Amino acid sequence: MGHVHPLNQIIREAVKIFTDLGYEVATGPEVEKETYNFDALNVPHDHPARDMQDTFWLKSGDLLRTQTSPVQIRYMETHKPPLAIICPGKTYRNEATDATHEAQFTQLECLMVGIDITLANLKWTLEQFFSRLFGNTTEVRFRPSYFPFVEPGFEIDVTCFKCGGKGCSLCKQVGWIEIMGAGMVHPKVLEGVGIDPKKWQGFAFGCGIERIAMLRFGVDDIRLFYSGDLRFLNQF
Amino acid sequence: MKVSYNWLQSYFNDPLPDATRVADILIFHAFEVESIEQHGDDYVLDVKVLPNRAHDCLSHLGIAKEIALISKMPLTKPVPKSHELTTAHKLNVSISDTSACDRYIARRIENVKVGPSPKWLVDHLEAVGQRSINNIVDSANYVMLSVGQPLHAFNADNVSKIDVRFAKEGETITTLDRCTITLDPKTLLIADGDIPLAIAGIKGGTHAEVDDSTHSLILEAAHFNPSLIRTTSLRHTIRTDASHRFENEISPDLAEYAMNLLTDMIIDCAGGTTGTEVDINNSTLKPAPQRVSAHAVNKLLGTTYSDADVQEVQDRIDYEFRMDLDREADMIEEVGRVMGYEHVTAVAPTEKFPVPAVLPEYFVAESLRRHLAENGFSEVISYSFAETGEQEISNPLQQQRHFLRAQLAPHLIEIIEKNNVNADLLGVDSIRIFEIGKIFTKNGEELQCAVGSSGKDDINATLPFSVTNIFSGAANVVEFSLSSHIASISANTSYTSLPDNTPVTTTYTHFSPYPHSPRDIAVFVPSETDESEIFDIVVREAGPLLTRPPRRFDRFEKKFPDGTEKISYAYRLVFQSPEKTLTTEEVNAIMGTITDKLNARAGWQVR
Repeated sequence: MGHVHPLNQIIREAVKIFTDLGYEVATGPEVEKETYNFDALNVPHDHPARDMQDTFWLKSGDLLRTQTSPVQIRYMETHKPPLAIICPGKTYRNEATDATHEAQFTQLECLMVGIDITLANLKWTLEQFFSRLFGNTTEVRFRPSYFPFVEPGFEIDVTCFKCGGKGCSLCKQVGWIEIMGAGMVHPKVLEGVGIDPKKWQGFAFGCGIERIAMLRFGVDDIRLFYSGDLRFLNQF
Repeated sequence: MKVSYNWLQSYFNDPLPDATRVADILIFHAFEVESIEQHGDDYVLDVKVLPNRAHDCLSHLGIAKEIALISKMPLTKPVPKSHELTTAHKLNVSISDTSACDRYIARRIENVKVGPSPKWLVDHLEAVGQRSINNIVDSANYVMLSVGQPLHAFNADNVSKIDVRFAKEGETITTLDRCTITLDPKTLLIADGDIPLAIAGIKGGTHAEVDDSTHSLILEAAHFNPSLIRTTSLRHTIRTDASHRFENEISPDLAEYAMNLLTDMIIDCAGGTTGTEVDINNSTLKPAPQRVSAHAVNKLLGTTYSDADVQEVQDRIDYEFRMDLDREADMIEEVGRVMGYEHVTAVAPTEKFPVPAVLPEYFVAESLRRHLAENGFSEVISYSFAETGEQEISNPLQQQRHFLRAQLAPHLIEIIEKNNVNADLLGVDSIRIFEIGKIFTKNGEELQCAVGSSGKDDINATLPFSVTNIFSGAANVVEFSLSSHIASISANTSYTSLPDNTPVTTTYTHFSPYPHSPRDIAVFVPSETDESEIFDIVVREAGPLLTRPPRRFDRFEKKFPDGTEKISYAYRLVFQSPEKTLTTEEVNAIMGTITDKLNARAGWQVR
């Protein structure tokens, strides 16, 4: 019996959870145009927000996408709201690698746009997702943050699935685990794809599949996922 | 940004809550706090100020205003003294391009005494990781770290006039850290005619450096074009506290306030009197903040705030120097975070969405990976970076892997070889793996699959459909494009037709980094013997260093000349320690014990 890669096992679960909730799975290229990866996501050319993500540039002038968020733009260019998508995919950042950082990693993007999609809906959606993923009743907490393509923007914490929030070694005794970034779609992003932000609104989030897999399976070094080492992969 | 707790306290008459509580106020309403460290009688908070608030919160006053807004503690903002300006000395300032510099305030201070800074100032600066230089430079740094406006002091004796102009090709400047930089015409300078005095908004030069012999100063508080400062500092790879603030578009109004505070500081610390001032101001008024209704806030956040709540928060905000509140969404965020996001309760969306279509690419890849896994192949994901290819990376992480892969097979073969030495440890006779991923050519990217084995398997026979193998090497690898299979997925396909998989609940266990030792043992036993008896003895006697259940690789029956019928069972045992490399003697000793125990049974004979 062979083994499906642990990252794809998490993606499989995420896809199941979201397709059950009525989301469509969408995709986009890994080699991306600068405009889709940055400008259309409200990161103008000379803006300091570009420093938030170190980018691999290709000789062709294109780049390796630093996030799955450009799929939001590509999808909204060809689909009218209301819309609800998830997009799992590879992403790249030009960062030195260590036990928790990889130059190549996997994200799951989620976007929901409708007439009255609210932050309260985002909270419900995340609670559903993480409760099913971690097999426990999981609470979600928002902390203010900044991602150019959402406003308000948040860092998302979930109650520790191991101790249920009481505090343990996994959550460093705080009961919460920082899991990903999210927010309400920035009106400029909607305007840019010809969707009227006065009429439509929604939420978006992007989470690192490796981060979830590391928590779920107790993996302490992100590089194992890309090692091709069957002593690791065959455990799943 | 490093923020001193004592420094923050200087803006409040009432005592602040303790440093941890201050951090919590920021964490849940404004910014991440990455650490709190004690520094003498002070605490230093490392506050992660992101680009949306870098224009006003890369400053102690900015952070103090946040604390005041959130905690409702009254804040005492520093109020500059009024200074009489004179026209005793001529001070000429010219700006060649007002789109590059839309405000420049220059002010002379006469008869200062340059010397060491007072202790409190040295302490404040050192707490946040700044080195004390002298009372003039320290004052400029202190005011910058207080309010966020970069400032500069020139030795007035070495400056006849100030020209804000672009550099000439090949012009050079020696910066305060004694580096000589060759400039280009896109670099804005502060110059005195032909003499560069500073790279505008980024770093000062040595020509008009303040030293112990300086008596008169020209202070600079300016406002530069943010993207000009950003591109210039990136081009010269000089990132400074000043450039970091200017590139985030601080308020042009801040220059005047900071100039007045700096004047007070210098006169306090170094004496002197104010002299001539020039203020060339071409800055435009920032748009008024966009106030919002409770309806707008509740519509986006799903909250139930009253108009009174929402108006009260907006009344409390100190809008001075804020540049980030010109959209309705900006103010909704402001109200939401001040009120606290814990007030948002989860609500299921009720809106109806179109029936989702299946993504053929995902469907095909997912079906294939399940099929291959069921047929004994393990999935790997390797790096997209390769030594050869058609798409080259300009800034690779590893110089030797500066292409995007154009094929999956080369990495797959490397991975097979790497795993081959562990076949015994893995309990397999050959390494069987596959990868499904993008390859990148001049024509774009394409989803492919590569399947390989170190054995002699007929891979094509394992695949669920017939493929065109594009791999031509000697290895047992099949690589193929998935595009035609993706194209053949019909519109009414459903994910429910994928086999249902229960989620894996594995907890990963570390594997030993030390070498493993495989050993074989074969034993003749009477034909009526149950194999589990052998198995039990072997496992028990092998002990904890046996890494996995013995793998039987051979079994045959033999009739002996004396008429007895026996069966030979042969097993491969793999030994490994999590702590060290096992010696041959250690493994031999274990094998010896197993052999003895097996031979002790009547009619059993280890071969």
